[in-house]
Amino acid sequence: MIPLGRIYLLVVVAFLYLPIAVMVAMAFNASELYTLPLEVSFHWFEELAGNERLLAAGRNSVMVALVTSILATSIGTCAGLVLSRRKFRGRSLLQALLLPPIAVPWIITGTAMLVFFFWSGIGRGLHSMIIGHVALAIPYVILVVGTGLQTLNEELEQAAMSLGSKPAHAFLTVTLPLLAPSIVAAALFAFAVSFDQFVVSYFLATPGVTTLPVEIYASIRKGFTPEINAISTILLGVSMILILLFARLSHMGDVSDRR
Amino acid sequence: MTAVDVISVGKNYGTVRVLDGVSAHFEAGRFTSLLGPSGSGKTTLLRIVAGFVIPEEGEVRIGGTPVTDEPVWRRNIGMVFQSYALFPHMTVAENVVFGLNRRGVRGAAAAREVARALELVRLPDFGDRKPKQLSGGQQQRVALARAIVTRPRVLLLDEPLSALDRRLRQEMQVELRRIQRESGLTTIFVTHDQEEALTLSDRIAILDRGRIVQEGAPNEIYEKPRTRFAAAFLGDANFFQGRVTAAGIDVAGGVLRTAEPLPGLDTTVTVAVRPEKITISLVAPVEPDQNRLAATVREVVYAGAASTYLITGPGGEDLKVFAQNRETPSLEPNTSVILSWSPAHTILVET
Repeated sequence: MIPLGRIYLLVVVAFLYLPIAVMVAMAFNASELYTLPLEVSFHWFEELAGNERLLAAGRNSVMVALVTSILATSIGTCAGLVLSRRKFRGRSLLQALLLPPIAVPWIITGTAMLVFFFWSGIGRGLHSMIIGHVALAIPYVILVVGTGLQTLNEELEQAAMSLGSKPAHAFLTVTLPLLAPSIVAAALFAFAVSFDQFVVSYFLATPGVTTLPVEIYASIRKGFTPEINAISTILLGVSMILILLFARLSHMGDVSDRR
Repeated sequence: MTAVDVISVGKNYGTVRVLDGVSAHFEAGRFTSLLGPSGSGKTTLLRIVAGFVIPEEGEVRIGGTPVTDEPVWRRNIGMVFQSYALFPHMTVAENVVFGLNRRGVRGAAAAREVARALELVRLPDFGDRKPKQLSGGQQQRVALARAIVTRPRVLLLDEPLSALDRRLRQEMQVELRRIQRESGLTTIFVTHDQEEALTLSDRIAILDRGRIVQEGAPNEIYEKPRTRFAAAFLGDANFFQGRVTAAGIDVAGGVLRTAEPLPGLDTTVTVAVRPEKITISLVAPVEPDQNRLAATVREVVYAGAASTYLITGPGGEDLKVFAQNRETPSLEPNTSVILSWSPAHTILVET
């Protein structure tokens, strides 16, 4: 029998990975003109190490993503806790308003932010980029942490209180450790949202101070070199590791599966 | 040993009155069941004693001291939750030691107490396991050990057996009773299972729509239910309705007498008769003073040692009779029979 299902899935996976695979292969190809057969070389990575502009942009990217991740995770986790624990008027409206920003096209969000930052005098630069990225990442954090909270049995904190814990102690010893995988997953996701962000960053970048995706775009416009393949391969690696870690942790965040 | 008192407690959720001025006395060292259907307020009452729910009216006293304004963590209670609520990221021993640590008991002293508690629930070698590695019944025992290791003033059990299968549940009923006797803890047990309440409890309080309708020893409530609801919820019951006359209660097909005094002439009353108190015979029995009604067998449910007879009464009532299969003649559906029982087993109930 022909394993049709498996062949089908292989085709889908190939569809997803073929362009990426070509790019990665060329990053390791010695030839600038993409000639085959492939001659493995780290030439373009060495070139990259000497490219100050790309390296500076890379440092900016990591810095912006780190700060974004910390801020968005802190703000979003608290929001998720308030949403799941407190009952108040207008809660469902507020909860409903947290999700649409995910669906708003980035080009719209980017334009709106640019207009807003000009109007308010905040201006462009890494600081406004961080503010923008935090705004983009918060809804995702609330989603991830909220899902983690939902799988937490609320009787656990009550059990701790019945044993003599004040609410703060019950939260720190019971809820927080059980929620930790979800919080770490949310932080990784927020990092990825910022690290991969192009549109909003492009709008808010000032000449000379950019992030990696913006710098790659600028370099391509000037003239393509396989160096771009090399840096893109690194970017790709970082993003894939982040998302795989996220997938693993957010699954672990499900308490019922924990051992 | 500590008694618990609930005095005129009222609680509303929105417009729903969940508890309507409930008062109850839970005797020190006794096992009391709160029995009622869902929505009767039994769980809310337990949570008010625990301190998770604050009543709008009334007072809770533990050992005579008012605790209505004390938060849960200062009430010194032990509670077993329906979901067990074992901390999944801690081992069994860490779960059990949690409450001891909160009370400042640590180190070797705490370890000794934990070992003793696990011994009591017959899981002495399970300290290093995680809750997920235990069966439902074992998790149940750990939850119990965790609740009693601190020697709380009162042990609160929120339907702790409902998640177990039937065989395990019966086993745990026996265990629960043993552990309660050995620890001597005042225990309040919430259940909707009448059989569980009957076999486990020293006292039962039956709740219906936010009120305690009857409180007493299991046999007291079973033999002398005060209301129709109590009679039907705890065990099975046959009901007859009729008018009071000089001769007794005038029901369809005859006159019933009771051992208790009847209210004034012409009032309409309801009586309850337990299914096992009724004798079925083909000819009228000779004993005088028995209540007698002619009826028709509708269906016989044979169960080996005993049978259940579903019977249509003279007034069209659906009746139920339990009989040991000793000398009872085998009866076919549609057989005409005489039902007889003692006036002492004819109980006046409020409707």
